[in-house]
Amino acid sequence: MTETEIPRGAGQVRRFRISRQGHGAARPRVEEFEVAVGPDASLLEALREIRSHQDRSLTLRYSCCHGSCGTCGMRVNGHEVLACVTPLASLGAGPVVVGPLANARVEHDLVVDMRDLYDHLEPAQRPLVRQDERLAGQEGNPPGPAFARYEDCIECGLCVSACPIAGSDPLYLGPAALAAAWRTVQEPRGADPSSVLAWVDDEQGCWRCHASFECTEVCPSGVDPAGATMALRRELTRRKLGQITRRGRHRP
Amino acid sequence: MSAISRTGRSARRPLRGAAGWARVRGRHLGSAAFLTNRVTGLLLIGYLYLHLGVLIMLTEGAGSWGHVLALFKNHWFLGLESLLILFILVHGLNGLRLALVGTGVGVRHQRAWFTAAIWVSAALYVVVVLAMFGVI
Repeated sequence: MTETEIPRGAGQVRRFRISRQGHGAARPRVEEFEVAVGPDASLLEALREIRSHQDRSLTLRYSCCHGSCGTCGMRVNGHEVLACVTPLASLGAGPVVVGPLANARVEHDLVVDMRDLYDHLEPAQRPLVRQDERLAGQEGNPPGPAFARYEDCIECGLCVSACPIAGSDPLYLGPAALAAAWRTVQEPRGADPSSVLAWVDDEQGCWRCHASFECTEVCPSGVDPAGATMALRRELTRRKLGQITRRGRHRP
Repeated sequence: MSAISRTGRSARRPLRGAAGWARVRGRHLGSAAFLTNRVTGLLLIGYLYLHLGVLIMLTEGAGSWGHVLALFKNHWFLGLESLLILFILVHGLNGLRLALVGTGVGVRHQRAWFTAAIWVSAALYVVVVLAMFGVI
């Protein structure tokens, strides 16, 4: 869809309070905009409308417009959302307060630096695409047509923004990386997941989580990072107990 | 699978500190449990110092016993004592929930566990208060 195709003036006028912050600026400022929107308009459509017809300098990031790419994550009325799949009608009647994701450096306006998230996903082996549709040990072609099956995480960073610990400990791996690590441990595809477990078995790894479960609440893809973090702890506990038991058995 | 470098951690994330804990808008029940545990934990530490302060009064000699006992029977002090019980109940039961959930037990039911912890704490608190003030 091009920007001129956005339906304009079809319905009510909504007020937006948008956090604006230039690159390197110490503090954000809030600017207000009013936009006439249709009854089914999404938040992203309204923001694009502002950018197209009111302020070309408003910086935001988006791509697919249907919740797959994870680029339009932001905080709206205090909630972490993907702007493209958030209907304005779901945000109440009052002003819509829009800001960038938390716990990440603001690049400009609603765009944050995602390198921290991506850097942490690398050591988790980035389990994004399945190498094989067959289960381990299964032979022959899998039933149905062959297709690339993508993992659920869309790397939007909403979970990191919502995490209270990610904001208080800059070294904490964060829920996205821990969820990815659990995915690798869960389905190692023949590899040894010990190195991933050793990576997360750390003060700033899965043990740093304080179980607020906000990451799972805000995840738009149902990844359940908190559940993954707890599963990593369970697996580490199980392995450590196993080591102790084996050591006890071998003691003369 | 290649070995993982532990230096792959960057520290670009801005620090929000404890202010990040107290974000209330847009948060869910898990955050309420998280914040409750911190607040009750800090209050219990505060009460520990109050407790030590009262005990120090006893070092003034045998004559101070009457003073201290009178303080313990004071309704305001009993009120504080009952709050101590409430904080211990909430912190303890929520801590039990965290210990179980934190090792992968009942993770999907964490919300229900917190609600149950609050209700059980409230029920026990009512019983304790009634007993403390001689109603039962």
